[in-house]
Amino acid sequence: MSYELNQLYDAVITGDNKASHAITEQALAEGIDPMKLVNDHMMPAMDEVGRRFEMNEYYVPELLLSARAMKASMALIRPLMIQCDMEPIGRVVAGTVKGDLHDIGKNLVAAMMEGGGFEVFDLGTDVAPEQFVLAAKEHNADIVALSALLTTTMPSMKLTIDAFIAAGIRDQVKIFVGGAPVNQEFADEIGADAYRDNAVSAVAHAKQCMGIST
Amino acid sequence: MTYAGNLIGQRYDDFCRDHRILVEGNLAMVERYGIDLVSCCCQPFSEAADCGAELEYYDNQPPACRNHLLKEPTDLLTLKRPDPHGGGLMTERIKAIELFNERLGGTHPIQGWVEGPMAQASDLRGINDIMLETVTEPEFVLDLMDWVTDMEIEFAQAQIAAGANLIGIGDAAASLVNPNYYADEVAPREKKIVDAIHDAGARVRLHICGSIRGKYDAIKELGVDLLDIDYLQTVAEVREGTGPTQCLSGNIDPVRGIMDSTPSQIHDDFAKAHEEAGENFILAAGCEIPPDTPEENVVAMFDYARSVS
Repeated sequence: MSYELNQLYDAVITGDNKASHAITEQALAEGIDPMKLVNDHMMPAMDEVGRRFEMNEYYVPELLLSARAMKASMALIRPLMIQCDMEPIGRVVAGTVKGDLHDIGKNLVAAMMEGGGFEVFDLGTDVAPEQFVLAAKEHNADIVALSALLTTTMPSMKLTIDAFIAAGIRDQVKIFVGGAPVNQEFADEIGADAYRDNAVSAVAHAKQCMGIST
Repeated sequence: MTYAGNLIGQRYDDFCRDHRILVEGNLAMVERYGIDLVSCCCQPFSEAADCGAELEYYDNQPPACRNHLLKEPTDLLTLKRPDPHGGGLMTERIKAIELFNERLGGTHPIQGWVEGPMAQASDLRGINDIMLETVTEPEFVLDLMDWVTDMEIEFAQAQIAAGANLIGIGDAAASLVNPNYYADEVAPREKKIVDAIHDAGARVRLHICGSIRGKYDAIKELGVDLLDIDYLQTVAEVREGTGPTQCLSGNIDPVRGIMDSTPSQIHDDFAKAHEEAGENFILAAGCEIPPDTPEENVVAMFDYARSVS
């Protein structure tokens, strides 16, 4: 089946991962620049997905499906980027902090960060401070995104920031915090660089941190 | 829940696993603050555990389920419905109700608890998978919610038979799906549970954590006796959406509005919520009050309620 390139935007918007994969495969075979696919089609699609989510037109299932569609395309594009030393706009290490197994909020942030052009290393849940540090070093992270859904696990956020200080790399990363019980006051108290209460604004702020205007 | 456990100096994992400790925590709340209702709600995974899910317990927070029971949709075919009297966590809840009856002798309504269809489906399959599968495996999700609905009806009936006057339905994951899906697929199953509880002679409280914006029409049709409102929408908005006769409960932000607030601000916030609600209103936090909430802030809630009673 032959596709038009402009169908890639629609495939991501509608969460059609089979179509997004097929269109990307065809486009790459035809010699289309992979970054054109990312910058001109997939990222604008995820921007629109984010807008619809903020406007309560899209909910969690729709957002996760769109993210999955973009991921299906990126599975083909990422190896080419590595081969050609093409860099993502930034690298994010994301995880839910130690003691906390909630992940839906973290998953939404990770999905939107990928949609925004970041390379995301998702450490999962119940992530110890030292694991965040190791991952940030290994992946040369620009941003570390910490999630907590319980007031009883929020202290792990401070412990994680302290671990970065102890490791001597605190100033090499921006640390974002989020989750239902978290607020700006808490973020300031523990020395986080940013607090955002939703995935879309987290991506916008991440781009600003990387010097990209939004 | 966790606040009550903290009050009696007990580990929360014990509070969740031993009905005697849960009852003691609630009775301590009655004695100290004069609460009007005792509750058996302590964590969302009792039914999932009795189905065979392994839980991880903590001393200061509700248990969690790291590896969900249904690894594949086809696992539903061999899932066995647990017996509420089978000796597991569901039985602990029933024993809690019996012990409340014995200790209180009818002075306070006793609230039992069940999980709603979307929440329990998420507990069994994993919330990320369920969210995707509402679109990619729609029939499986509906079959799972049907299976869950039947289980929860039986569990609710057992709690009512033990003496519960009110059954809470917790359906947090329902706030994550779009209003059309909620109205078409989730609310009808919630209604089955509501009707079964009413037929058994008890009242119903519905708690959906998060935002219920856009879902008011479907919620109105459920006929619940009490609707909890979380802090993500105003009481005024919910009152307009559900009408003047729906009893509402809420809706102060439990962290920013209760734990991190001050008694005078709590008074003002509750007064505002009360004004927006008018009649048919119960003052409450929008969701679970954190265990480290300063006592003066908890007292402030009760002080306001008594000042207007």
